[in-house]
Amino acid sequence: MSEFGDLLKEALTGAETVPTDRGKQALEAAVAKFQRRERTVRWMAVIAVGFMSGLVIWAAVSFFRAPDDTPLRTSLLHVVAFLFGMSGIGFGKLWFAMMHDHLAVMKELKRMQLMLLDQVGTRS
Amino acid sequence: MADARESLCDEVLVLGCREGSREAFTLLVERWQARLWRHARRLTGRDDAASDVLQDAWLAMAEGLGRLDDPAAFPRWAYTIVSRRAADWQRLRRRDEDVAGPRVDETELPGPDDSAADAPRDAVELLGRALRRLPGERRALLSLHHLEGFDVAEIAEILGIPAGTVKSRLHHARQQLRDIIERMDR
Repeated sequence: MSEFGDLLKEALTGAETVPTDRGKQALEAAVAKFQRRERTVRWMAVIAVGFMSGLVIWAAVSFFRAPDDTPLRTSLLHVVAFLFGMSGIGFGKLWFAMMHDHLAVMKELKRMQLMLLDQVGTRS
Repeated sequence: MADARESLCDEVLVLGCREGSREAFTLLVERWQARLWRHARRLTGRDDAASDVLQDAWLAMAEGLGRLDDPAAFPRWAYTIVSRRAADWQRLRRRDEDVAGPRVDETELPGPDDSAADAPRDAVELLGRALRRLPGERRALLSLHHLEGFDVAEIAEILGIPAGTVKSRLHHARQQLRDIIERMDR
């Protein structure tokens, strides 16, 4: 960067003073909203898994408790509901595991980059 | 290298937020609070408006951080949200002014006494005084380019204006700054 650019950068830093009291309020409100969102997402996931599990259990119990003269359509409905529920649980777990792994791998890569950067900095 | 380190730290924090870590989000807010507040202050011209705009922006970010695919894009994304909230605030203000009449432009900063008898100690202080006399939007442009290191295309995305407009405004901002410095030097 040019010398003027460097001077400008230094002059721009701290050109305005941040009021601390409003900053604290903003931080607390934002963190509270973040926590609420995480809690909502978690509860939605729990409800979805609960619903699918309930569907699977209901389908299985209904299928095996149905009398012998139950129409074929009804039996097929139980089977489809069972498969739908199991697929939902399976895909949900797969999606969650993929997300979690992806984030864990990315974090680890960034940490390694930071370590390398620190080592290069120490040597130079 | 310090910049690269800071960027990497921010990326790790964003990834932590995507995992749902409250501590990561708190740290991220603490690290970015001052910078984003200054950007809001430059665009709105008022301390209280800047605080309100930033609070709205953080609430939007708390909602949308989980959907941010590229953690390296966090700075651009954060500045874009703050700029949009500031633009909304300005739109509302203009609407109020249509009804109640214009207010005084507060985008120039009150600073320490810049009287001619009080000569600046060095070039940085001279530049600082000149910057305070620049309109807030131009200060914001210079800050995004020289301080945060965004290029023209990124600034265009942040402010929602064409790249050509960014280039010409940057040029005019630097020119205006030089004129102010020349006047102060006389």
